[in-house]
Amino acid sequence: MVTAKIRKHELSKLNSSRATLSLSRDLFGVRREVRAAGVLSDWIVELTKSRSASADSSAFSYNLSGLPRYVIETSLVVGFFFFAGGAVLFSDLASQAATIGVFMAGSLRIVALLLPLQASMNQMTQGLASGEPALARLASIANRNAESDKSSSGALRGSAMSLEFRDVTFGFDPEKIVLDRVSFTVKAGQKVAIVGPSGAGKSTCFELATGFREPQSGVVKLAGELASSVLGNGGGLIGIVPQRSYLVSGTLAENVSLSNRDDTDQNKVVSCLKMAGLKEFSQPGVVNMVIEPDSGQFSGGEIQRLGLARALYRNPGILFLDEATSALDAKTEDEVNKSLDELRGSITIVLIAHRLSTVKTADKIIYLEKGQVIAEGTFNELRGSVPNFEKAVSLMGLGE
Amino acid sequence: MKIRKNPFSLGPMRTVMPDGALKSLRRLTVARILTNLLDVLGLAGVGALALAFIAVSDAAGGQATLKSPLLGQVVVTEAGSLILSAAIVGVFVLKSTISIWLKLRTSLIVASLESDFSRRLALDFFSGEGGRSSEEKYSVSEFQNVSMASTEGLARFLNARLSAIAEITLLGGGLGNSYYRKSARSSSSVFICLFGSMGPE
Repeated sequence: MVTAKIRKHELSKLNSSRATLSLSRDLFGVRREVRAAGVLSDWIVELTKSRSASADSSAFSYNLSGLPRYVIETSLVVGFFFFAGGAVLFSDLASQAATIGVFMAGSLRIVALLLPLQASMNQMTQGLASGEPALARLASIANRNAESDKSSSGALRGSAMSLEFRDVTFGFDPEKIVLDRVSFTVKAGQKVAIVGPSGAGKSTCFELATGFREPQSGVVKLAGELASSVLGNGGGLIGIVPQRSYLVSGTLAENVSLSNRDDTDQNKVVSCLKMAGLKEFSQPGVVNMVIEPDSGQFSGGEIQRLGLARALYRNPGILFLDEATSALDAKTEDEVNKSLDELRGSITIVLIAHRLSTVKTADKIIYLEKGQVIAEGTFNELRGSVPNFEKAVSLMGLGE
Repeated sequence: MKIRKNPFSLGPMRTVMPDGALKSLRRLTVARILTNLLDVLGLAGVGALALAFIAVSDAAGGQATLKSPLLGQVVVTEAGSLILSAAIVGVFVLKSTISIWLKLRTSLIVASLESDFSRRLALDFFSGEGGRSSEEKYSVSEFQNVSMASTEGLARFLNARLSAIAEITLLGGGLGNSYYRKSARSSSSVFICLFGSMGPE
């Protein structure tokens, strides 16, 4: 019974800890909005509730785990009482004195042995209860690894890669389709943009094309291989610049190579930084400067360009930019676009863009609306064939 | 997956532990049990020593004879009792030294297993094994909980399990010793076939 209760409290502690971690993470993310909205105290109450549930479970578990000790001690004392009492009542106490003495000594020794054993048993119960979630995950990983066939090709490295979406349907919620039978191709070495209004499915295309998600139906292929298998193929075959890049603790070079091993190629770091428009940081000495992620050493635009340098570092066959230049000023954006144009041919570039200024020079633009491909063509072709595109071009002041 | 509720059973942990670590832990458990035999031997020695002191103090001339079915007649002197007590101290010191080392080795192997569990969970989380993104299946807090708190629980379980097995063997010896002491005055020893029944002649 004690074991079952300890197990229950250990699981409850784990769940409360998870809730606390989750709430703290959320609060960190929205702390400014929360303060501005004046609801900080509500959040703190919630945080305290989950923390206190975790602390209570710990307290119960701790107390329950100490319970058997008292049971053992009391049993031995009671046992001794009956033993000594029996000796007094049914025989001569003097003749039993030595035996009683030995019994007492033996009892003390047994208590000394039983207590660590009892402590170990409690630790086992607590450990097993709190370890259950990890054990379940590990067993599931072991099963998956046994089933999975890791036959992926290594022949893709070092050349521009094509991209193919064939009848791709996807929804985060199966009831709510985000992409509906989307098909398009991007030839190796092309610079292609995927555009469309908010909610059209552009970022979902990015997630599927990079292999981070798999479609519910249809296939997404990179150079003829399934995108998910390319992603798992040792890394470096695809380059990604997300909407928001993050700095990591380490040197500038390590931030570009995303590796703290000694094999970072500093010359390559320098050339990638130049290519990404970070000329002021592209000095051999400067790349060894240590970066503190929250120190404010870099502006948002610089961090974004560093993200581009990072994506280029491993000579990917295809480069995906998900609204990657949206945080840059017009001049920097122009510089980055020129750098990307220089890469054209040697690397396939797929831009997910909201700002149409970045897609003017694309070889092809795929226009999405409500999860479907409405049209494909060059900038000018789309202006003529898609009224909504033309409207967006005019609104952004890009019409000539 | 069904988790076995019997805390002594490794159950599904067997499937997630590398063979090498499993074998090492088994070897170390056996070594800890054997080391506990030294403890039991030392305790038996303490009993024998008590018997020797009583016999010597009762006998004239600082010399007594004890009778043992295994060892036959044993002549005990004051000097012999002192040597026996030194040997018992040696046994306990040796037992403690080996125990500390074995416990440390065990803990280090368990710690490396804990790290390996965390590594596998992190790899699974961030690489999205199995096709679909793992980020869909876990939240960050769940990942932190599973990868840190829960794997620490598994390590605690393993350490405690090995300790419990070792403590049980010691308890077995302790109970034997207790019986041995209880019957010391009259017959003396059951204790572990080493001494057989031993008493003053």
